[in-house]
Amino acid sequence: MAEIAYEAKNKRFYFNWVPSVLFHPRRAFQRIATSPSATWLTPLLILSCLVLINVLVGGKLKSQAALMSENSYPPDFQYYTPERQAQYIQAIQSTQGPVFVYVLPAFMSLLGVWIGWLILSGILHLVTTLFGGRGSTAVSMNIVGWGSLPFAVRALVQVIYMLITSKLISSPGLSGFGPTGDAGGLIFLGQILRLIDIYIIWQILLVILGVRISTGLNTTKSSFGVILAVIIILLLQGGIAYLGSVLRNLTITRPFFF
Amino acid sequence: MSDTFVKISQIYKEFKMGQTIVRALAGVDLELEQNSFTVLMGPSGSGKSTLLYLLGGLDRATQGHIEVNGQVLDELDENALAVYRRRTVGFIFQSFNLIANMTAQQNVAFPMRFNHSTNRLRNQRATEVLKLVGLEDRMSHRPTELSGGQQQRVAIARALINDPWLILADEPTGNLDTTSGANIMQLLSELHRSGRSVLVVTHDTRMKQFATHHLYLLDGKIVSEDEYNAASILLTSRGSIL
Repeated sequence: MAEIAYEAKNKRFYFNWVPSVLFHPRRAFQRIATSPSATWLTPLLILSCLVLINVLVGGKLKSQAALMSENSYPPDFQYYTPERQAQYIQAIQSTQGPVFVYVLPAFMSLLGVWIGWLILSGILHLVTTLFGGRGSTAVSMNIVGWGSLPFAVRALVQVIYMLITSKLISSPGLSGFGPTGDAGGLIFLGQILRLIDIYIIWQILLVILGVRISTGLNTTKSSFGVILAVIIILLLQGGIAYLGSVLRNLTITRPFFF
Repeated sequence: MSDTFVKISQIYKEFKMGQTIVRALAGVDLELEQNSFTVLMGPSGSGKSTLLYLLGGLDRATQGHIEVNGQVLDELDENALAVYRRRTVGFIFQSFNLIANMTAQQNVAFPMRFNHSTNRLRNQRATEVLKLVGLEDRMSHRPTELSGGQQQRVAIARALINDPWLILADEPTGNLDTTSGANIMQLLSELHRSGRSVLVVTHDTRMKQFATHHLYLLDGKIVSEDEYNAASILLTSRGSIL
C-alpha cells in the first residue's frame, strides 16, 4: 500500500496501468480506488489521441468521397438550372474545407471526451453520495477516467476498420437497428442508439466495479447509480447530437427547377 | 396511328411578376398520340417552354388538366409527381444541365440513384445508354472535357436512363453548331423510331423533316400553320426575331 501511494505521488502518467484496466479490471480498480492522487490524465490523454486519429482518418475519407462526387445531391438535381446547380455545389464545397472536415470535428470530439468525463464524474459522485457512498470527487474522476478506456479501444477499432476498408462508418452502435425518419423523436432516438454499443457496456461494468470498491456500496446500489448516471449522460449527448443534426440539415428541400 | 398518349385540356398558366400577372398559356388544348414525333414551334415568349415544363411535371398549371398515359398530373402530389418525372418522362434541356463535377457516366446514372438500385446496376445501365448515343469512349470525361454536341448526347442518355415513354426536349439544338445539331436531331429521330413519343420545342426548322406532327404556339395558344406563318411574316417585317 505504501508502495502504491509512493508511486502515485511521484508519477504523472500511468501507462503501465492500461493493460491491467482492460484485462484485469478488478486488480486495476483496487489500485485506482485507493490511489491518493489524480490519475485520470493518462486514460483521457490516450482517449483524446485516439479520438483525434479517428477524426483525421475519417476526415481524409470524407475528403476523398467529396472528390469522387459522392455528395448527397437532392433528387431531381438534374432539373436545376446550371446556375442553381453551381450554387448548390459551391454551398456543399464550402463545408468540405479543413475547418469543417478536421478542425470542428476534432474540437467537438475532444469536447465530448473531456466534458463528458467531467459531467459523468460529477453526476456519479452525486448519485453515489445520495445512495450513501463514501467516495470523494477525485476518486470518481479517476474511476470514470479509467472506466472510459473502452472508448479508446472503440476509436482504435474504428480507425483500423476505416484504414482497411477505406469506408466511413455510417451507422455506429445500434443506430442501424432503429427506425429512421425526419421526425424529431426518431432523430433523437437514432442519436441515442449511435452511442449504445458493446464498449459502453464495458465502460458501465468497469465503473460499477470501481464505484463498488471506492464507495463501499453494494452491487445493486453501485449498478443502479452508475446506470442512472450513464442514462443522464446519454440523454444529454443524444440531445446535443440531435441539435447538431438538425442544424446540419437546415437545407432547402423544395427544388427550384427554373 | 395508336391511342392518345398525352391529353391537355384548357391549360392556363399565369406568372406573377411583381404587381403584374403574365399569362404564358391561355387555354391550350392538345393531344399527342403514342409513338409520335411532335415539333412545337413558336416565337420567344409564346409559352413553348412553359408548356413543356407543365408536361414534364416540373411546374403546375394555374388551370386545366394534363393527362399523360392515364395519369392526371394536376391530381398528383409532390411525391407522385417526382415518381412521374423519374419514370414516365425524360427531359432534355438547351443548356444540357449536366452536373459539372460528375463524369459522363455518373451524370447519366444520376436519376437512377433514387430508384433503390445498386451501384453496379446503375453503372451497367449508364454504360448501355452511353453506347446507344455513341459515347462509350467518353464515359469518364467530365462535362468541361466534352464538346457541346457530346454534352447534349450525355443529356439525352441521362433522359433515357429510366427508359421513359415520353421524351421532352427544350431547344435541344439551341446551343449547338449546325453539324452537332443535325446529329442530335438524328438521335431524337432514332428514339422516336424505337417506339418512344418525342416532343421537341425548337426554333430550328430543320427539325420538321423528322416530325410526324407540327404544332404552332402564338401568345399562349395553339394556332394553325397558316396563322403562324402570317404572324411570322408580320413580325419579320417589324424586325422581330422568331
